[in-house]
Amino acid sequence: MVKNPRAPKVNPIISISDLQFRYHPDSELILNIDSLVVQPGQSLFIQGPSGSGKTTLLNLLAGVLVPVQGEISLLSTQLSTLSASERDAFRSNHIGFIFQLFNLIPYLSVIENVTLPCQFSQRRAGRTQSRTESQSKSKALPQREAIRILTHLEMEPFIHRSVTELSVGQQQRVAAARALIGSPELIIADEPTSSLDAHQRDRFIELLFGEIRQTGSTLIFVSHDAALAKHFDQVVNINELNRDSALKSQ
Amino acid sequence: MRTLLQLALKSLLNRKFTLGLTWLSIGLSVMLLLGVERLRSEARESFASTASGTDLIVGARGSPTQILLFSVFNLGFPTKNIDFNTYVELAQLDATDWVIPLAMGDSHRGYRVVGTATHYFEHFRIRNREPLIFNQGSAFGLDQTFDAVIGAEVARKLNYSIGSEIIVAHGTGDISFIEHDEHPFTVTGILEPTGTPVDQLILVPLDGIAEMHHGFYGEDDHGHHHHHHGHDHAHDPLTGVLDGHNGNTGEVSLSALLIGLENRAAALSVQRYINEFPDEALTAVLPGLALQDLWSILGVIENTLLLITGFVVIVGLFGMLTTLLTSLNERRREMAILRSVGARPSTIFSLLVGEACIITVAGNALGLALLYLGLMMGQPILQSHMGIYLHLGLPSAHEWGLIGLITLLGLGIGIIPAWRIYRLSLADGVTPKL
Repeated sequence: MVKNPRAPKVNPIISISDLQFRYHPDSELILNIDSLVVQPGQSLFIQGPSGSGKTTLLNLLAGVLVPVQGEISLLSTQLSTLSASERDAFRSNHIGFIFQLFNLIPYLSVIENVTLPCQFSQRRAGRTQSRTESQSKSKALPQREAIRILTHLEMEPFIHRSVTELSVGQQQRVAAARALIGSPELIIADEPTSSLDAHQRDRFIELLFGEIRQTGSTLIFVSHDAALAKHFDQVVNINELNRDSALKSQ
Repeated sequence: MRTLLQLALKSLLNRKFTLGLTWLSIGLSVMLLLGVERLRSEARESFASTASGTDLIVGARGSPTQILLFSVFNLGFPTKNIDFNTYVELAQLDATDWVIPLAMGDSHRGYRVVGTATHYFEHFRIRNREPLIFNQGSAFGLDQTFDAVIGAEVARKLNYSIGSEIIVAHGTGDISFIEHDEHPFTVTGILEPTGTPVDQLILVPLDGIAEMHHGFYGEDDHGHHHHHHGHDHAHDPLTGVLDGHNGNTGEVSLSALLIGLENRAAALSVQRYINEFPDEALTAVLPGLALQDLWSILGVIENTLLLITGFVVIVGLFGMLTTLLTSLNERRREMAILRSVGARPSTIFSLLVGEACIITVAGNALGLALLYLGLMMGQPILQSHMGIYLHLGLPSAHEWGLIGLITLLGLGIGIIPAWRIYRLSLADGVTPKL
């Protein structure tokens, strides 16, 4: 495990430099980030109130939005060099997402929801194989991997439930399993615990970290809840990160 | 692609109640449109197939459409009759191959009794120039006066068989006060069903009609007719025909003549000759042209029906548009999730268009199924009431064309919600603003 952010020979998983973003050319800047570097295997906690540009930053990392200035590199790939559809493919290959609410597609089963990224990414479908026992080469690897992760997340009894019958806490675990399947390099979690009570929240964080430690994925965790910061290697406040936010919040 | 189709199908199934209603309304509207189209083309075909071997139809001077309708479609009546001698003269023309006389005006229990000659069965053609086929018995012989050949429907409805007696009433209609009951006809032949008005006919020899009317009017003068004809049987091409008549035919006036020509190319000149016939004012009708006239009159009604049913289909498709559009807002989350796992905006667009396409195609399939169900149930009713024979064959190229058009229309309408969700999903990215 790389714990030292200044370890010299490893390429950073996220590298942001001189990033600026605004929605319209004549509107004010929403993000203005000098530099942000995250090393592989690290966990980063981005703390900030709502409306501080966290969601915009996530959409920029996802490649859904494009910065007006500056550069975002993920896994040494400059996102600006990719076309829109290449960014879509890149996202499905390398990033798993967990959102605050409504993470699941209601008409798909729990397993189908978890294996959804494998439908869009051959790479992640393929990577489920290395996690399951090497001798079993049956076709339903993503399904088996989904069951394995769900079991780790203590979701085994609910696998055959309809997703609409799951509690919010259970839904978030299914979402976490979906983000984790195929071991993407980067997991982005946007307020995943905001709808959970304190007990559920702690258990969720615990299970999530347990899985991430195994896959070696990098975790970006966005929340307004400063109490969670203690679990993470690296903590930034979006307002400190954002050069303009001091002006904006006044 | 497979993923997309599965997603679309599962998403549709998830909303099966509202979309089921949409599906049903599209299915019903498609059935209506195809049904009207089918009825229209079958009616045309049925009409066109009714006198397929006839080159000219001759009646007393009058409207060609009317002559066509009463002579072969059992619709309406002649206003004037043709003299028997005209028949003889036309039959003697070099240009004519055969001439079938038709004498109308009598009926039996609502079915038309038509006096004709036995070569009717030889020359009359239906559909694709197929001859009439006897199911039982045979045509009346040349010297038979009170034989009758009945159409399939007459036999079935009145439960007649060979040997049944038919008492003919004067005039048409179920109830007639004048019955020629001293001269009953005996069924000697029953025709196969044809799906044409022939099914509803009772065909008897002209002699029988003449004899019957003689009997009724109390005339029993069989003597004067030979010189009335005034021609030499020995050299007469009609010998075969006229030998069969015992002479009373001279008293019978005819309603129409069906003419087959030696050479069809001569149709126009023969038509002009007949139209300028010196002895009598006649109208010769080219069946094909008269049918076209008829369709041009009925065309307005047909097109109106087509327009209405076309609009019904469009209304059905707009129902689908409404259903898809109203569900968009709640589906923004779904689209954001799909975007987050790697779906392109174009994938989201295709998903929505695909859904509209699936609904339309399923609607078309339902419409076709309902159509064939309706045809199977309606076939016997239409055949017996209107003499229109409905084929249960595969959809015609024209019908496939309509189905294709509806599918394209559904696809086009699907683009509207697809475009909206495409814009929304571009704006939302992986985080829907709700």
